[in-house]
Amino acid sequence: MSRYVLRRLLESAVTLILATIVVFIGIRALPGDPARTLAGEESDPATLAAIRSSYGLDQPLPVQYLRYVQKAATGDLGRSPRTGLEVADSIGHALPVTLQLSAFALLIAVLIGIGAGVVAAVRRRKPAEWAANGVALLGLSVPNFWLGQMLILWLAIAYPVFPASGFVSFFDDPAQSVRHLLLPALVLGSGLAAIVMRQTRSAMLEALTADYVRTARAKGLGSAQVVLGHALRNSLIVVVTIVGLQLGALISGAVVTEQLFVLPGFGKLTIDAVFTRDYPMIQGVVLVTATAYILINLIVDLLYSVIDPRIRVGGTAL
Amino acid sequence: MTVEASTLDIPVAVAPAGMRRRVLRRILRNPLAVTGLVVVCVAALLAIFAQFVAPFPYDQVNFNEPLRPPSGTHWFGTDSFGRDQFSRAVYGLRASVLVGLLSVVFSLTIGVPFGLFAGFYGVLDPVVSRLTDTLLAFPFLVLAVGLAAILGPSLTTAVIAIGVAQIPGVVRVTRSETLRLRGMDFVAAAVAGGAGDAVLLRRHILPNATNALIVQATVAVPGAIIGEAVLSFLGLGVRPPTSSLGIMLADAQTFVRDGPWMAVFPGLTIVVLALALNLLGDGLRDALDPRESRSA
Amino acid sequence: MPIKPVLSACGVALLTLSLGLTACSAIDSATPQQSTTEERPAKQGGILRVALSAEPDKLDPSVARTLVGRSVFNAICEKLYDVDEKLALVPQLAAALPEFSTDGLTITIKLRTGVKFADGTAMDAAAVKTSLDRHKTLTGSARTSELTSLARVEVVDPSTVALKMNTAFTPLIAVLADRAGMIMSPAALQASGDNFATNPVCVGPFKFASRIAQDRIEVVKDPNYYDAAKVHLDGVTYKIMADATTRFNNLRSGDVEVLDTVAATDVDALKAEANLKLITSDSLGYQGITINLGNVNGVGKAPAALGAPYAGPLATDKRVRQAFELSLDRAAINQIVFRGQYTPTCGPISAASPFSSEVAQACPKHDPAAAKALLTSAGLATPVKISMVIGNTADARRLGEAVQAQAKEGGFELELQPVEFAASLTQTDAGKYQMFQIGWSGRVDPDGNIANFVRTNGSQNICGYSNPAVDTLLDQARKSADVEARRDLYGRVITKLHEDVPLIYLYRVKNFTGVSSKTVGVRVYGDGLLRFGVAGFAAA
Repeated sequence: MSRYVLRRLLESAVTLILATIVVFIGIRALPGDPARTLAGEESDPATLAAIRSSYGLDQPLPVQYLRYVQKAATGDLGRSPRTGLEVADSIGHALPVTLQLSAFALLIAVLIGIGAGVVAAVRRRKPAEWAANGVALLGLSVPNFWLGQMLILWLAIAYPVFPASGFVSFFDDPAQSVRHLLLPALVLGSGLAAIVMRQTRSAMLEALTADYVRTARAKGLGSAQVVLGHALRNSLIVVVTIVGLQLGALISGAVVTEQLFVLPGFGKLTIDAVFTRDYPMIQGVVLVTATAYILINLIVDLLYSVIDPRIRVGGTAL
Repeated sequence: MTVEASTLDIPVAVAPAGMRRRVLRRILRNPLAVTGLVVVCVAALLAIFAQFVAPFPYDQVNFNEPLRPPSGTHWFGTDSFGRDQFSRAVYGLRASVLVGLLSVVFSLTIGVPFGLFAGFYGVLDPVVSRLTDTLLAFPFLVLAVGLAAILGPSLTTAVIAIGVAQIPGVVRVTRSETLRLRGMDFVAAAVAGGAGDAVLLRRHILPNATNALIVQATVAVPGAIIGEAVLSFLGLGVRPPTSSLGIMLADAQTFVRDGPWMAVFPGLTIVVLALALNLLGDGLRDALDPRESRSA
Repeated sequence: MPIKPVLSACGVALLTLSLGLTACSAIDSATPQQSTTEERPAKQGGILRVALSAEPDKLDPSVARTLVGRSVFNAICEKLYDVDEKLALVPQLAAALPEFSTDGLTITIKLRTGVKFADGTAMDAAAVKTSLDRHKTLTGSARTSELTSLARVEVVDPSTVALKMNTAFTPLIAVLADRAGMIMSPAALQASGDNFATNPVCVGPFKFASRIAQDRIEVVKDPNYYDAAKVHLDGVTYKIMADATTRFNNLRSGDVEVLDTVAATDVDALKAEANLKLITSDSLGYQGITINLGNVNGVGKAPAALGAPYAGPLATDKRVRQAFELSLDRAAINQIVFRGQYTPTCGPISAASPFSSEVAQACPKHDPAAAKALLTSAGLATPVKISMVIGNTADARRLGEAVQAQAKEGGFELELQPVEFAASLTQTDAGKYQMFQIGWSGRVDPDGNIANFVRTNGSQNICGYSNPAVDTLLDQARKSADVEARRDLYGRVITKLHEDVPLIYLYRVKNFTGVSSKTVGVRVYGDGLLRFGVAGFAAA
């Protein structure tokens, strides 16, 4: 077991280093000079050279990279040349917005997804299954930003029930926070809900025909007990895995949602940084995303290998 | 754009040829899948024959009729340039379908060989796995914006960006299929019969992995169509005056108050198309998966 | 809501009051011009909430570059000079207008006395010298190029400085009415060094309090301010809201009281709201199309003949460029793309400027038939294929599509090349384009709107345009302190530009500021900046 953990940790480190190198070289390969973008309207060769030298952009790439890694290792992600603010601070302000939004979206997705999934599995060939399946299919087929547009049109403009934008932290004012985040979380969570629903359904179906459930039934347990106590509990493992894997997609999806509802989150920070060629910010953002993705996968893998030892033989889970 | 394909596990022990007919029969017995198939075919025909279907050229402006609501002449209304939204939607369908198909072809072309090799040669597995992990750990939109910056926003850019984002999924499915098939008896028999690696991969493993890939592709296409919409929405999609469903939605954004129909119809078109593709995909999956029919 | 590159510096332009007169006067502005909200009595106290359209960059006057940042500076960093509502230069931290020596090489500036920075230290001649020296020499300063003509600053006495010039350059005073004229506290500069932006200290009705990236900037009333008695508000909170619809919704719902840029598409809706007011002002800048005539080696380098794929009759034959301009209907573009809310224009000088003249506002009439005839006389078969780089925002795309549709009428087949903003700047600087839709935010002095763009090897001359006659006229205008003479010189420059067509000026953005009727005394002058020095909430 410890050897497996060690190997996974090593693999994760390699992936992380690869990701930082790829982003480091990648953004520098993009057309669009950060100095020119920074200079804005007042640009002349001398100004551009001065900007480049003050941010070390005139150094050879390996030197720039090593310097960055050296600083990043001590937790210093540098300053954004554009705003002059610490990258770590900016990320620190943006991340909670996205985390709260994602947590809310996840909650919605899991509630709707598992509920509908259980219904669909238990009530096979009944209207309830059709309805649950229909909702899931819709969730997969609706572009989430269009759903957002429609919700804004309907619930924020035609009938102004919810605000069209803005963010209030849950820890400052829970009621206002929910009011502001409900629509964006619904938009962000819709696709995920569909995926969770389908996974729950198929895992439940499999579990319901499995031997231990049959045994439980044979022992005379009521069907609610069987469904909730045994089958669902086992299906949850699969769902947790999926949710873990989808978290990266959730954060990507947050970019569009944040754009639509103008939330000062991580996604918006990312897109703005790329559009303005804010190198330190892009590097910081990718570092954080990659670390989160890798950590989540590592945890899921390890959990999985604890649950099902066969996984270790095949390498990475799933 | 992520699909649950990673959990697909479809045992295929039947020879492909005999299987095809049975699969087709099963699909035709599933009314939802047939509905999906019909809608997809209609959409494909509309896309191919757009110039005959559309009542107006997609780029014909009429400055005297801006922002007209839907009417007998303009079924989907007009946009701020007085362009017929129905005609634009029909042509937009063409671009969207094209992006959907091409990006999936792109991801298969690159992903399948990598997946095959990773699954077949244990030595390559860690390398390929690290690469796919790296790609997955990378925010998709950073990638897309980067590509758009290098290539300029265009249909090709959208195809590549979406295709690249789908590669990890394809690699994973192909890899796990290869791993599974490699351990099966008929492969062992072929090895015993003296078949080389190339023959094994081409004759025995790839054809048997096709079904899983077809299902993966069917669910990937609607994902890609929605992906095109997202990219266009962010200004990274097709070039004006080309129409795509995504760019129509992006245009609609400014006119949410004065021309809500500009957002409603292209959006509905995407939903219907994606829904049909997903229904078809589900039908295929059920038809290919004996487990489903058993528990039914 | 499409992503807008945050750099509004090159994107949107804001400045100036129009006199309501434009050359293409066929389209009259439907919006009455008004520079302030009404002057009802204000009560003391309250925090004003302001929605900004983009995130300001560093709050350091030496390095700041974004337009939106200037609005924030206006509350916290006063300048040597300012403009009034008629766009005339008036002293702010200076005590009077400057005295020019007869050769124009020495400019003497008297300072206001008894003025204190927000940190309580004295604002004097030494502080002015420290600030101007820093603007001029700091590594990465965005002011260096504006101050090239300035040789050195001499402290004459604690309340007088003398500016020694390399060459006579009258537009310098207008420069000192912008960020280059902002005076920073030497004590604060000493203390914070390169990180002055994280806690800027200047003279102003308000002082910097805090900033959260992407979200807000807070400033509070400064008790040390020399005119503190006139300041009503306790503070101002600037909230960053990139999306126009969101900004507008926040104003309607009362979540903010002031909105810095109302989208043209929202103007009518705003006017319909009883408790909202609209302040409008014409920008000093312009939006237009820059044409590549000979930019082969990069901006600022000597022009040469273009190579493939950018070469073509558009670059070599001015009749083709004239034909292209003739095919454009500016009034229709304004109507279709911006609902007639902006001001069509054909030249770089705002009609409101004291330097404007009839010649400066002359405009080629829209005439697609004449355009086609010109192309035929140039020996070209229609349609003539040309291409244009545009931004990748929805607005830029709509503008591009409108131009494309009109160019078709004039015998052109225009290919639109959307390019993401950062990439488009690098690409066009390098000369890799045929045409580029780009604007300029505008300067009070016309020199800032013209010279760098069309002077041979000018720092922003991405056209690769070179006309010795234009260069001579521009140099003469720089040396003259006489408004009348300069007006005539600029008129002659513009006539030549209309002949050669290196740039096609399309329209002038109008700056729309939305204000809640709860507030009074909010002022927006010709420079388009929000002024809250005497603003407040209306006394009940």
